[in-house]
Amino acid sequence: MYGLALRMLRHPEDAADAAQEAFLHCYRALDTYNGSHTFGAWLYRIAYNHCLDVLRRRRNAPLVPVSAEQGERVMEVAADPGPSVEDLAAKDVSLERLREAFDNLPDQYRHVLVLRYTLDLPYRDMAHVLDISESAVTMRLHHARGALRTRMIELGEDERGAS
Amino acid sequence: MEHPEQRDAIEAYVEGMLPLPARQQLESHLERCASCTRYLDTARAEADLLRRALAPAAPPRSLAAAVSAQLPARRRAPLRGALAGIAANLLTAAVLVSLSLGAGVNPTVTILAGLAVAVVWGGLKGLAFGLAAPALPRSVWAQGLLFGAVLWLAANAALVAVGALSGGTAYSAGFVLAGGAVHDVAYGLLLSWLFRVLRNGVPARPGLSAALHAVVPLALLAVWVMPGPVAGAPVRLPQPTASAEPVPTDSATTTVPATPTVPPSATAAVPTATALSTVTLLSTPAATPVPTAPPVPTARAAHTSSPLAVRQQVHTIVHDALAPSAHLPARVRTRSVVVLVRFL
Repeated sequence: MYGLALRMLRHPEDAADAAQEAFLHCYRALDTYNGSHTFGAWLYRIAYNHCLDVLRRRRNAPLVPVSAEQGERVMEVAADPGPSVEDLAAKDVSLERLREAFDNLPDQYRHVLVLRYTLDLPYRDMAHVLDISESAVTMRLHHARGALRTRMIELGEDERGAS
Repeated sequence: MEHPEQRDAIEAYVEGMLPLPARQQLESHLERCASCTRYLDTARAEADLLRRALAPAAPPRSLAAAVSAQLPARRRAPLRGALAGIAANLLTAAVLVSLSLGAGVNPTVTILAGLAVAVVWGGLKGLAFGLAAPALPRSVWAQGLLFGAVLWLAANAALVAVGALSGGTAYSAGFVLAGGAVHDVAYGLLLSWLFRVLRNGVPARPGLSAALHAVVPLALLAVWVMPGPVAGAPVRLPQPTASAEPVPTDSATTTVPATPTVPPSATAAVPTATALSTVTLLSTPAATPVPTAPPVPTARAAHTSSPLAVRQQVHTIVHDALAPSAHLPARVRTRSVVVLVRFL
């Protein structure tokens, strides 16, 4: 839960506080767990919603939606992904750049990538946490990977331009 | 990529989310398509890279301590179960003792015996509940009903076993089905609710559900202690002054001393004399109900503190308080066996 909170809030102290409060919330709400989903999915949903509340309080704004321009660029990449993330990493891209690209993604894409690659949740549990369908999870994950590739390309172009 | 339509399937395959039929179809395609196979390798490498980049960070060491410090102090489940069992038995004993007081028994002995039984027997049953709690359903109602059913089955099984060991007695189907079920269910519900209250505390706003948790078991208890066809009346034990020695019997019939059944709400005193009644034992579980002597109102006896009278009263109260299903048929041979079995 701390890992989820850290990736969502990007601040260690805020993440520790959020994880602590989420744990206590889970403890008090134990009686509400009815077994319709895995216990992990139930826990992470509570933690995820709690982190969303923190983000809203912090920004006083809803989730950053994917802009139309970003959406169009993502669709172009999805149609022809070009170099893969792995290719970029093989050439000259460090993990740090990958994390930088990740941090610059819209919230919706970051969250779905965290749930899959940080928490290793199956699609069914991700759907419960995000309160969307499994097909929507698949689509959002696909777009998130494409957006990540796009962002890494942009970062690479920025670096080459700067140099 | 030659087959872009396979991209989604390949990505799902890498994530382990592709259903079996689609997976088999994709694997068959990959055997023939080098382009898709290269994309598969790329997708795998990408997923591995993302896992490395987004690996979960270790939480600070102080986080666990900070969480624990804010958790309410909880007693361990077995101890909590024992406390809940004592409380539940005290509640049930209070009902029985109060009614027994009205029947003219020694109040001090009655209360002390009820307390002792509640602490020891209730504690043991509650301890068993606390140990079994992790395996029980989460619902208070389900826990209570299940545990009550187990108590009832265990008690009756023990009685049947002891009865069989002590000479082939058997209980009527009526007793097996009805005897003690009401009380055991009430006890189970009470115990389950008290166990939950000890863990979570009394709800700030109890609501209907919490009220039902408390009222329903007590209502069931009230049904049980009322004389009637559902619960029947508790059977008083034979008095020591009567010929209580076990009578050797054949397999068909036996004669045992039996006391008149006295409804708990009656004002008659504990009988000081017994009447022998012949009870026919049946060897099959589906026996017809055994006729017992009708209630014989006797003159109220003054309280007595003679050792014999006290012992009689203790036995009676211990039996009543211990035995949720106190509707014991008269075919049980010895009082000591009954008390021992119900105590176990």
